[in-house]
Amino acid sequence: MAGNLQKEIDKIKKNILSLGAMAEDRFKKAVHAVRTNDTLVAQEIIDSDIEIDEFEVEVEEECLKILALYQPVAIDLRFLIVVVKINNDLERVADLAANIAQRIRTVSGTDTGQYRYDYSPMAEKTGLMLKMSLDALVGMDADMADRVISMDKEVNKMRNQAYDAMKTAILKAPEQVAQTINLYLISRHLERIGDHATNIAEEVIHLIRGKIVRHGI
Amino acid sequence: MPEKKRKLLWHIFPSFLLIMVVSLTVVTWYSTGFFRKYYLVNTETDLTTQGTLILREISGPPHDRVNGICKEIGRVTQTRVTVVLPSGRVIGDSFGTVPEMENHRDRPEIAAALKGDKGVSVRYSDTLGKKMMYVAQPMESQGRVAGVVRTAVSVSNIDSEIRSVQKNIVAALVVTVIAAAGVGLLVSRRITRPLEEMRAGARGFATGDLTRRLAVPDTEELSLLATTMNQMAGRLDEKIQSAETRTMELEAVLSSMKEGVIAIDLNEGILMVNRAAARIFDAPARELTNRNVHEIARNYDLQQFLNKALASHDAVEEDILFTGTREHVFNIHSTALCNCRGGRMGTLVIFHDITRIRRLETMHKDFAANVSHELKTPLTSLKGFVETLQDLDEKEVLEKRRKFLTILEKNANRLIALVDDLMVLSRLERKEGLVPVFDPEELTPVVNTALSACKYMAENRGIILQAAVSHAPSVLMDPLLMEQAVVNLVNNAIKYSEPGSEVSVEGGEKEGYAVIRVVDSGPGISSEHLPRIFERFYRVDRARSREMGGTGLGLAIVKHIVQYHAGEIRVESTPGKGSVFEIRLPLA
Repeated sequence: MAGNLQKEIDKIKKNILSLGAMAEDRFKKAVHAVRTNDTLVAQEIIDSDIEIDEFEVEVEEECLKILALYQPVAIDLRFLIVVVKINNDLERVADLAANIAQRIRTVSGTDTGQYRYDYSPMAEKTGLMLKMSLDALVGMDADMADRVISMDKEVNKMRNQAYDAMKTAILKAPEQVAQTINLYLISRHLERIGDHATNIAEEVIHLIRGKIVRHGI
Repeated sequence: MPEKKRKLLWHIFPSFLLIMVVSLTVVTWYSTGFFRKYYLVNTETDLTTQGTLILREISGPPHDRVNGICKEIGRVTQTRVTVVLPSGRVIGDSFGTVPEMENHRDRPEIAAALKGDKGVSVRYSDTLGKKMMYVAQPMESQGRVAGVVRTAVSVSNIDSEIRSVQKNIVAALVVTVIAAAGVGLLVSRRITRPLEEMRAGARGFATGDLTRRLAVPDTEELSLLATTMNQMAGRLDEKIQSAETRTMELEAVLSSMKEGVIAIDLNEGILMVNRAAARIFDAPARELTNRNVHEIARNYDLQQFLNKALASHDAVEEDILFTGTREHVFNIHSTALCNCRGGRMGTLVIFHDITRIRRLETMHKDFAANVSHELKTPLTSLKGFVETLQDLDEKEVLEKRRKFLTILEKNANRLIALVDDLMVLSRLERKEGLVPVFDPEELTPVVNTALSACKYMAENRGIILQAAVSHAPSVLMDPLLMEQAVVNLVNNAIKYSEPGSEVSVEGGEKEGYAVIRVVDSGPGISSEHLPRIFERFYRVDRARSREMGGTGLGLAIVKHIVQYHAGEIRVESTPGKGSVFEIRLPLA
């Protein structure tokens, strides 16, 4: 019985890592699409979002099944709860990647003389946060999770910088306001992805230290 | 619960004991029987002899004296002598009082004697209260039995004798049992001591010490066993050694392979990774084994690939992009792993880094396309203008000759520049792989010559050219080539800078290298172009570059020259702020 539970938990672990890889993959593709203005990649991300949605449901159902069948306690219980939450965060990350792809599709193909903003530093930072939060989950590394949480502020700051830049750009070229707003939204999505990475990191800390560190408490 | 094992001594001792008890009992039984029989026969003979003698003694005297004679003989010989008449009446007895004695006619020995035979009987005597042996002999006169002379002696001391003999034998038995135990212990020791030694040796084999050999005991059986075990150890040692050698060879092959190799079991746990694969996953190989592959390689494409590979028995192959700190393209190839019984064990994945090949392929393709395109453009233009000139009449020719010839010259010059650059490149390429011999040359004159070559162009575009060469280190170099490299960099800087801005060339020493830096404040190059700008014909902005009269080979030439000097070229650029190209050369 205990052996079976362990087997199931290992399977869940594998699945959540798979989902993590999928979400990371979507995120990278979205960032690539932002950098190269590649609408084909953007379309691909949007079309394949359903895979992640389905996988998320599968992982959650699996977790619920284990909870009902084995009534795990202590670390196993905490792990399953954390997986359910991280599962949700990862699905949201993939959703946001799809949103970014949507923005790319809207922006590109319009006037080439439009305002451009270099998102690579922000995308890099967010990507690093996402990667580190997943690494923390894999390696059960609470210190790394701590670092992820502390990085969130920088990403927020970058979002604000983008906001200021966009504001100036709109004032300069008010006729392109629609594109610029779309461009700004990318920074919002990136910032939200950073937030989800922070959530994952917090869950990892909860899992390891058994202490809930949400909301800066 | 397992059966409790007894020591060898306890196997030997009980059988010893049994043998001894049985043999001693048999001996005792036999010898006491024999002894008793012998004693009784002897006693009987004695009694018969005595009886015969007494018979002579008493055949003469009358009946009333018989009792006296009997008493006399009894006192001297300690033998009871009784004389009985045929009627059974006792007329003489050594110990009893005659008148009180009962009729002896029914006594078995007397009954036998009355019939004329010798009667022998052993029984308990009421008169004397002892076990006695009686021998009765008939006293014959004139063919008739006139009386019976019975001699008797106590045989109770034979029983006590036998009992004491038996006691001695039991005592002897106890002593022998103790002795037997001692001997048994000794014998079992002698058997077990070599066994004990062999066990120690065998334990050594079990723990892996196969070089030791067992001492061969004297006993034939044990020595055979020891020899066999030694042979076994030798064979095992050979087998293990060869297996170890094989493993080492395999490991050496695996770790020296540039391709990453990982073996994965059916649950996607890692069985083995080689060094190259560990490098791909950016973790030490030791930490990777036994972990789930999903934990270390969070790559969606790889996971899909592994699912496919584990599901199929055939080889699977795919190209996968790894985005770590740097982008890598791997051609991965999987083969089903089977265990010795032929069952599926997992899959073996081989990572072949094809990043460079891919890049070279793209470069090659681009190069061929670019060269033809770059050559074709001015040629088309030349041909077009030549045709136009041919079609024009005299008057028009005179009018437009100047303009057309300028265009023709410009295109011809472009062709020449292109061909020149291609020749420089191919010359440099031919030098690749050779060990160049340079003389140490000062950096300052090289930079200065380069700057003076660019002065005219800078003035034309209104660019301020600055030079700052400190220290002036000397470098092993070909000054003409290096001059060309600097000229190319400065030309680029001038071309892309806004009129009125500044381009500066700095020379000096940094971190043990001679350094030439060309700094501009032009539009800069965005990050995705940076890794490729040194490729041939790679242009950040195609239209603009051609308009500037570039061949697209300038930076490629710079890179080749710097590499030829075993140096390094770096570029830092911020879009909108400008770029810095830095050549690093080893100091002389």
